[in-house]
Amino acid sequence: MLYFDNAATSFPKPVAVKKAVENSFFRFGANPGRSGHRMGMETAKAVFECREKAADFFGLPETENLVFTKNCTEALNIVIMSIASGGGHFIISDLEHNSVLRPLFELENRGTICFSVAKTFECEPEKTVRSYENLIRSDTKMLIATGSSNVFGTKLPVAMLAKLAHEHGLLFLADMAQTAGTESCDMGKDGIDFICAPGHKGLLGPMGTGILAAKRPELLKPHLFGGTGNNSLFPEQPDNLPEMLESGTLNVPGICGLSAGIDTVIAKGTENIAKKEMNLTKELYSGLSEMKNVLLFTKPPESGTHSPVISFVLGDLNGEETAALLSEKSVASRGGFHCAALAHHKMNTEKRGTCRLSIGVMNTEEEVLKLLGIIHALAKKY
Amino acid sequence: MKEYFFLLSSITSAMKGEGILRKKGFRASVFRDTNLNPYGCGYVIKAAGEKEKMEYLLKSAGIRINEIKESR
Repeated sequence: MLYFDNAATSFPKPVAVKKAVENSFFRFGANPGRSGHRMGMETAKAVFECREKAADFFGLPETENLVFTKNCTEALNIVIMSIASGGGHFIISDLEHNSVLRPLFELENRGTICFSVAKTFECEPEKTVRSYENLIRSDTKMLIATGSSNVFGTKLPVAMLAKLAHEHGLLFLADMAQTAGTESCDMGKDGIDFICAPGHKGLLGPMGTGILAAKRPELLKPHLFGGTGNNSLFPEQPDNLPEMLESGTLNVPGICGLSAGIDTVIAKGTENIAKKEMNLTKELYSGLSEMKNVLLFTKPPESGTHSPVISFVLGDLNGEETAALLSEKSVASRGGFHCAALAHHKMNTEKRGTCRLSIGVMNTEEEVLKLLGIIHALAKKY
Repeated sequence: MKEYFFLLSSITSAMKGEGILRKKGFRASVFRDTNLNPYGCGYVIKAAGEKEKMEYLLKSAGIRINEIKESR
């Protein structure tokens, strides 16, 4: 199989990740932060080491403010629900994923908050920033931006938007679902208040892992209550991070795998990974752009303005049909609407959808050439 | 050298504190002890050295200490 669905989850995972997961069942089989026996403490240590590593990766000095979640969506929900609890106005981009749009939509329907959608401009970061700025109101609380569109690979100027937010005394949340692991990030330097990221995409960990990194932890509120392994005699949910937001047993095998995934990313270097992925993406885009009956939706990809994601359709087919044809040729892509209603409305693809090809660090030039050959042959027929 | 028990609520804080003290040359270890820690399921950093200095280091790192007990 040719795997080009890395925006959904990276595949294959590095051998070190698989080994770390397997090893966890032997060495770290106890419940961390619960029992005081040796394996319990060793498991807690393994979790702590991953927490420390991930916090460091995002430039967060306070290890305890790095919270493990089950995915990026959960992390985004925690932040949005916390900040929205006092009402107010939010601004998001027209490329946001449903994991940002839906909680805000739900809260708006409940009458809790309201939100505006800022128009973004491909390769024009200043215009995008101005677009956000024009929507700021006296009751605006937070700006939210995806690092990159999961459908079209269009990057947003996260650091510039964080600066804008702080100039207006607002909070800034970065959804790094598509960029964590391929883009270096320093929360302190970039002025990001909250980062939400999956553990299983660019960070190369297993599915079922996510991260919330908080520079403003005092604003967060628990949305899941229960056992945390501390203050057990009190009925109140503990108010300290990370325990306050980590009720219930943690995904230890996943966290151990994530730890190895982050090690792999650090060893390879985020810049090297991004460069490799972008070179392959450019090659793929260039090949596709020369084919008749292939419709592309974005400008030629460039690092800085695009992530390694290309959306296209073949002839008169829709995204699902295009992806189904590729699947018949053992190519893994993703067709349809990619849980991103806003992005498809923006690009006028809400009827046809698109077929998304997303490149990961494990892809090779050979695979890209094979893929181009397959699409070239299909394009002649449709 | 005197030994102290720093009683904490969080395993994460305990492990963070252990690392901070060790980096500064203190002998420190973490364990769970509900006898020492009356707050219910707590953690203890056992460390030897100057109490005030260790307390300062832990608090400077944002670690909430519930209580400090001297080892007997």
